[in-house]
Amino acid sequence: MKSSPGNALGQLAGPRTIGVALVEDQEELCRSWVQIIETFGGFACVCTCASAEEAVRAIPQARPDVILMDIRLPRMSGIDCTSRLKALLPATPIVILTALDDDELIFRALEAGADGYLLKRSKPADLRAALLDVLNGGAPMSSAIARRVVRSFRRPPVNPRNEAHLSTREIEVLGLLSRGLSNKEIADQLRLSVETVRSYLKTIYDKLHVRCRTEAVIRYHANRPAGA
Amino acid sequence: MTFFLCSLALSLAPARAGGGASAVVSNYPGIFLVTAPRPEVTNGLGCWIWDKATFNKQTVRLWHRFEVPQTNPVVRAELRIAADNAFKVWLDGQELGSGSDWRTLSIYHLEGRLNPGAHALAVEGFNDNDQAGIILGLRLETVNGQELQICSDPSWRVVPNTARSWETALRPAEDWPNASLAANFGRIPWWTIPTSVLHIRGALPQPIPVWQSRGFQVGLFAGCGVFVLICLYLLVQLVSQSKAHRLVQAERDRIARDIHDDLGSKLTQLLLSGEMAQIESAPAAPGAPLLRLCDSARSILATIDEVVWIVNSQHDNLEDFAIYVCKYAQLFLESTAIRCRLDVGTELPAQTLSQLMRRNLFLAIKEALNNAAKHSQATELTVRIELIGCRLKVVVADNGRGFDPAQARQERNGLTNMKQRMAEIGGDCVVASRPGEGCEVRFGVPLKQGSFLKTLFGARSQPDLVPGTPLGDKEEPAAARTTI
Repeated sequence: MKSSPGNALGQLAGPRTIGVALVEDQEELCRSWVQIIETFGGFACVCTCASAEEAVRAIPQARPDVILMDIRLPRMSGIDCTSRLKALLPATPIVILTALDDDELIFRALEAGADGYLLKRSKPADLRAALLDVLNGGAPMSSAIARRVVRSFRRPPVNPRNEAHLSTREIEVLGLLSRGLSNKEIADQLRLSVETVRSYLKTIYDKLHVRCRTEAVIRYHANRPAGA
Repeated sequence: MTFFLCSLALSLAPARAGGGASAVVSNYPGIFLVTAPRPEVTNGLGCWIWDKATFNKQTVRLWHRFEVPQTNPVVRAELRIAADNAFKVWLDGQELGSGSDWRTLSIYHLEGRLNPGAHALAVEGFNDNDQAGIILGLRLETVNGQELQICSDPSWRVVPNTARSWETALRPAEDWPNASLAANFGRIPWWTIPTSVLHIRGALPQPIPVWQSRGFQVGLFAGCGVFVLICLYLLVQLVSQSKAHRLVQAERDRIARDIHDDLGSKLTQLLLSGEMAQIESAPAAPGAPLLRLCDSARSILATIDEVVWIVNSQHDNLEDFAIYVCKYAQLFLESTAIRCRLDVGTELPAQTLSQLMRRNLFLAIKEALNNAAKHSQATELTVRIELIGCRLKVVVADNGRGFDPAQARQERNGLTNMKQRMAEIGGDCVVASRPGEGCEVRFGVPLKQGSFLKTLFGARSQPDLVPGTPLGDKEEPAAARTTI
């Protein structure tokens, strides 16, 4: 485990430095990400892991504010790692960092508990914005993902005990989203504030997580004090 | 039945003709003629035989086996038979005929029916009333003039009425008792000379139903065998071809994954290094070489994603296609002033799209989007995807300034290109536009249901494996490409 506590390069831009944990198996890429994140100001890498197994061990101790997770990892995948970490640190948002723009894969990560996603080829500024958004309770959702969410809720849940239904409003929001409307346009059309639309999306994410949580994860939850 | 009617009709003729010579009969092949009885007709008859007991309404079955010598083929054969009251006679299980008048002697001419070997004569007699008996004689003349006689005598066997297929039996069963002598020939109450003689010639074997004939059965069996073999062959074909298809798919997926993993991660590394260099080299002016380098790396990565998507066999369904097209359109129009609207049915059926189809349709749509971005000056563009029956329809409509299709220079706006791509997959492309009224590009392509026969016979010419036009076009979306 390579842990670099503190904010060596970060210029303090807020009252508190945001701790980022990074799970990325390629050493060079990992180093670059750390460098880039630390130029953001206000962000610091508190933990970098080269594998999902290492992440499950090290990240709960490092207590980051946000986790950046690669999907394609050796052995355990980033998706499985997400669902384990979510059980250990339910309050810590996880952002998927994916090389392949494959919304099937991304959606599976979201089901597993991820709170956002970003392509590796995104601009550094976009990465910063996405991190801040997710920390502020945002739930990014493209039209493609919205479509998959709607479809997922039509299927019976993984565990029948986790039956969660979307409200009419939530379905409406997803419908508009899948037709290509932006959050602002949706807010205009439904006569809501952008904030409310955002909170709807957040609720949809939460319901998706609840619905797709398996028995194993629930038991894991029950046996562990939250946030431990 | 007809037989008896005929016999009745014809028997009148000799009666009127008086005791004349052999009378009548027809040239009708293989039937019979009636002759006046002469003493010699009784030559070769045995004695009247019956079961041990005699009672009214009694049916008695009599059976006898005889041999025709292997060395001497039979040239003439006559079976004379009469019964009180009625009989039915079989030779080797085939019915020869029947009679129901004890005063009439029936003579069956059996030439050609007695091959060398064992034969069985079977007679079923019926007694209506009072005394009963059957009398018969079979005279055979062999090729060397030898004469054989088989006649009714107590060596005949009585077959129990419960026995089955007794007419065809070539061996007597243990429990078949010998017949009993009812009376010797010429004894009262029976005749010395029959009242009439009935000749039955060429008593042809009863027609065997087609399905019982050996030829038919052999043919049917052979046909079934051939059918089973063909089925097996086709099954093997199918299995091997679908296996080959799976292998091709797997290989294709592997190559795509390799390209993505190796090339992709190295390019991402390059991109990140570029970004770092950009950050470190103080505020970079827009258009600076480093910025362009990063943009190029990004667009290459996007292209790799596109290739991987097209190649990946997991995405060969309509839903994935629709999602991908929508995502692409949104992303592509993000950098323009055009708002992107999507209109896709909520539940698209699980329909497979071949790789060739996905690729050509996608590239045609891309072309349409590109045209709209470049020329339309629209504020809004709608991508509509729908399945009508078996036809996939994709419409790209903008609210821009439109144009007159008749005057449009086809090679410049890529209309030819789109049409060519659609023609490659058996689809069509219609561009509807008028100056000031926006532009609507409609793509239609028939989706074939997976045909079993096509899989069997047509799999050799995999449409997926047909080399297509190169992915990169001259008219690439401006947003995705930046010249260095």
